[in-house]
Amino acid sequence: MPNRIILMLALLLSHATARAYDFQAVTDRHVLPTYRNLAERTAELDAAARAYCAGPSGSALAHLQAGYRGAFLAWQGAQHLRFGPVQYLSREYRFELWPDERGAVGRHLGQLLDDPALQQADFDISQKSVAVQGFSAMERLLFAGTTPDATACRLVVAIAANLRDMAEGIVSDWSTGDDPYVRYFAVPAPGNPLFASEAELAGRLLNSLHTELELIVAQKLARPLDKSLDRARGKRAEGWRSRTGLPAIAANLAACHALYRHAFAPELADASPDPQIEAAFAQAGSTLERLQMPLADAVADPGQRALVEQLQAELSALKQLLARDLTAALGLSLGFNSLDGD
Amino acid sequence: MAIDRRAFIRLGLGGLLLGPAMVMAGTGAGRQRLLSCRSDDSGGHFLSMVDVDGGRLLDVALPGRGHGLAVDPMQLRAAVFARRPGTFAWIVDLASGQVSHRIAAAPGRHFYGHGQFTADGARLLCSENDYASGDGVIGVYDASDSYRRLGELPSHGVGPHEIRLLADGRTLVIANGGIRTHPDLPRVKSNLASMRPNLAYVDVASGRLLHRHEPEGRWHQLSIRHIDVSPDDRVAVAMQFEGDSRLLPPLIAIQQAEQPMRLLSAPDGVQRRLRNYCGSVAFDADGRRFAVSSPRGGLVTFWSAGGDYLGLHDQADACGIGRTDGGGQGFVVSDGGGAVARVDEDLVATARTSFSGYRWDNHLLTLRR
Repeated sequence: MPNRIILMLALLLSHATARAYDFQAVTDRHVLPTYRNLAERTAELDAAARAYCAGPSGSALAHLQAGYRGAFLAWQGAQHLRFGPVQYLSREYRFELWPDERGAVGRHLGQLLDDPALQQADFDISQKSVAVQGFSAMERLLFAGTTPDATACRLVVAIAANLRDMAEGIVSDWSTGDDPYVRYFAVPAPGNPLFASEAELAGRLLNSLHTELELIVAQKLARPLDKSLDRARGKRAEGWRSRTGLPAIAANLAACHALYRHAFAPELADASPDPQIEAAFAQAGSTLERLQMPLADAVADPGQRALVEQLQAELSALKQLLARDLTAALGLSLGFNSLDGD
Repeated sequence: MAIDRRAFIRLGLGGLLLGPAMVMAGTGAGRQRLLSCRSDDSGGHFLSMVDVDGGRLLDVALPGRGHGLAVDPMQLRAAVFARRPGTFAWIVDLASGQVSHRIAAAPGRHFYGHGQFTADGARLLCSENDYASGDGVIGVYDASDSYRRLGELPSHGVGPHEIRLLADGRTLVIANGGIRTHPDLPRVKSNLASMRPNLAYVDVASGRLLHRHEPEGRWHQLSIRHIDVSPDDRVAVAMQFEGDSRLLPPLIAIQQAEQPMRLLSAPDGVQRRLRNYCGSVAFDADGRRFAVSSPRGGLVTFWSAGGDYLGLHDQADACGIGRTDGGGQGFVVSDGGGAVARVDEDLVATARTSFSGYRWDNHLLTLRR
């Protein structure tokens, strides 16, 4: 009899431990470091932009381009977090507008470069089209094959400062002030106006992760691949000008994997489907490493294209593992109407 | 031969873009049928008709995610509207399941996702955006002439969303959500700081503004998006708050004739659960009560036509709501997990049917029996 009670207690305890999500740890070890990194890299980009525009030179331009890549990849490492302060003031769209099926970035950028307002002292890029406020516009200015002139420089400096300000804004909205977002995020409970239960918040995180994989499969890879080799569209690849297409996907996957490890792996305690999910991340990572040229070229290369297609299939399978097996194991829902209404 | 070729070309395009349309005629008679857009697990989007007992009656593959629906007074045809900023509105023959007309957005316009047939079925009215100016318009299409666009009326606001005709058949009530969007920047809301939503009453014949109503100034970020009208012309309003997520504004309103809009709040604990977001609204068949879905909170709240809070129904990810037609003044509620629940006249959920693999989208429309 006592043995049975001990066994029951042990079961109860193990159950309680298994289902206690640690959102404070997710915040401290994953979310905040991710955004602090974004703030640091965009601050470096801001400094490099001002340095180049104060004294243009070949080495200053190379430094600025490297700063762009570092900040852009830091953003790619944060793109999977689709909730909270990154959504305030349409920040997520202002960081990057992609895909841009209607060519808004090029068109709005062209208009702005001809706009006398750009030359005025009170020019404020945060009041302009979201298409010209972030990485998508800056990439065109820095990797066009021509060195940015004085007019382009005004915009490059304005965009870099805007990116830095938005990143700093996200960090402070999460963690400081009277009413930081972490106060709601770390303690889901009835009465919390944003997250009323652990399951709801865990479902939100899982949807975020799933959405990022969907973006990679259905947009980042599918758009340049198109239907066949002779229809490959390399210039539809994200970041084709700066050759950051595959590094961006690598950053996305590393971030998704880290979020999975911090939020969900402890709940599974090595039980299924954890080994399958870990294997799927590892497999996709090794396929990515075997790609030897920029994404824009790889989709049109007979040998490399098959690897891009393989990566796409592997990530689709990983997506299914999350949507089907992980939701079942943890009793979570991905949500549909609740996350993307109209 | 020419006809054959044309039919073949249409079929060919259909196979490529649209997939097959499937109809099982004859089933579902007598059961409550409903129409709704839905998605599947592999990225496909459809207009589907089912009955509440699980019968799958019609599937029309759509070129993108659909949103609102309208049915003509004879229930012969349904119009399905693309989700904003949408470029298509399709007309589906409900008997055959065939797409009879594919309306493309007019130059410089995009669809906002909702529309209505006029009482005689002769015209289709669609909420649209003149996206260069940002002015809302109501496109007018001739249902007897291949849905030729006859012209447009001003919506007297920005971002018109759901529209409804009053019983006189001449007055259109327009939910001007106040949010400006542009098809170049899909889903980006560009004027949240300065938005001014309104509920506009417009004479359909002339486009003249009869009167309009706004939420009080401090709640100017309450986007008026979805409405329903009772048989005695009361307008139930379901809103979405675009301001600070920590505030708890009222999200539901009732309005009639030229009287001011009355903002309604649920009891505190329930109001908090709405998450500042209402997805859809429907009166019951006799207009005594209405139901409002709050998919982010996973619940539906019930209200009397006079504005009293009556209770709630829990259903995760629920958004689509329609009235039960003929017998029983209840509601039908759909969710993103594929379930359709029936709520009876005592506001109690009595039955739940699961459509496996279906993700019901934001709106549903029940058909008359």
